[in-house]
Amino acid sequence: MFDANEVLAREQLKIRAKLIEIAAILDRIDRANGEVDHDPRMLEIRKSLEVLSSFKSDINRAAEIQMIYSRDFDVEWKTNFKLSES
Amino acid sequence: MYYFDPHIHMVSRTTDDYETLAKMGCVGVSEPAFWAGYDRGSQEGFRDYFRQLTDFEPRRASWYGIAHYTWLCINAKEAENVQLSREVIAMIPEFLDQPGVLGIGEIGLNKNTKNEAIIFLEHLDLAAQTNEQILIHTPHLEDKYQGTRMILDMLCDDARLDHGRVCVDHVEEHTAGEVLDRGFWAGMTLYPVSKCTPERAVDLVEKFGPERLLVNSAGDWGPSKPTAVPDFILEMRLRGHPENLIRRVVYENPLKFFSQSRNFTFTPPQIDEPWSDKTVVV
Repeated sequence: MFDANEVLAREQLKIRAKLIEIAAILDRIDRANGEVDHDPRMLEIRKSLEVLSSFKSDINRAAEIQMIYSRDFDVEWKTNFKLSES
Repeated sequence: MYYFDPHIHMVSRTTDDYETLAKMGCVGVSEPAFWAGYDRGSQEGFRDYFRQLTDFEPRRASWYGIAHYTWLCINAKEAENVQLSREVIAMIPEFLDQPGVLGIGEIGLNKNTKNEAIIFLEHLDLAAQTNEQILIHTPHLEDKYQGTRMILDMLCDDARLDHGRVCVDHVEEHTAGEVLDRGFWAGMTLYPVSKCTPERAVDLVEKFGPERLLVNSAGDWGPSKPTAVPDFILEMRLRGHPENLIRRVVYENPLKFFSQSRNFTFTPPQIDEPWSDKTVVV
């Protein structure tokens, strides 16, 4: 297994490329006609970028971003579906 | 390295793909029944599909020395047609004793609807009554977390099911832990855009360890890469993981999971090295 320094060295160019790609897409949205500042999808993007910028060591960034893009789970779903009556 | 692809839809692929898989080291594939890209209109349509899965595909795979196994069901997308789904479920037992049929799959949820849940439960009942293994599809994108939790609820409600004989497929970072914690097998699907990349799948192996983890391409008629498992193998090697760990995930784990099915037979390839005991003259 690589240590953190080796992982960073291996992944640095990939991270750079992906960050620039995201920046370019956001610029593209800004240049386009219309306004999406209040679009829920932009809110998801902003929340995801906040997760990326966190430097807490115990954070699981990939799982947190997955949850930003997930519907809520309703623990009462079986009752609401009335499955026992089907 | 020899490997299995435990989830790949070869009916959607060409014979050339079988040849490529064989050249890459693939010795076995398992092919769950799935959505053909359109809703089928009758029970007979499914009967023909099941004949293709249990007869022609194993023959086509054998031309390249690949063992072919399959799973039977009506998929979640077509489960909205409850009447047709029940007709198909009633027909499945006709095929369960065919060689290479590993169980019921890929059942699951798609949009997490009531009808999907009803048909999922009826498939579970069939599997429990016939003592079949189960392969489960979890939904895509924003529906995955909710659908996976619903599926786990339904599985855990049925005391007849052995969790070690069920694989919950298409897990990602936010669902893998709960699937594994409850004793199920977890499948990681390598897709170009949705689901996992090879790199993220290796991350999950590093995080959770190799126990009860499978990796597959789910190659189908859409954008997908039937040789994605070798991509995973390469990423494992590039990160310095030992060959025995890689082999465990891509070869020994599928063997262990499949071996619980009564219709699973497999002749392992010869892997000793005939040159190793000879003197090499330089």
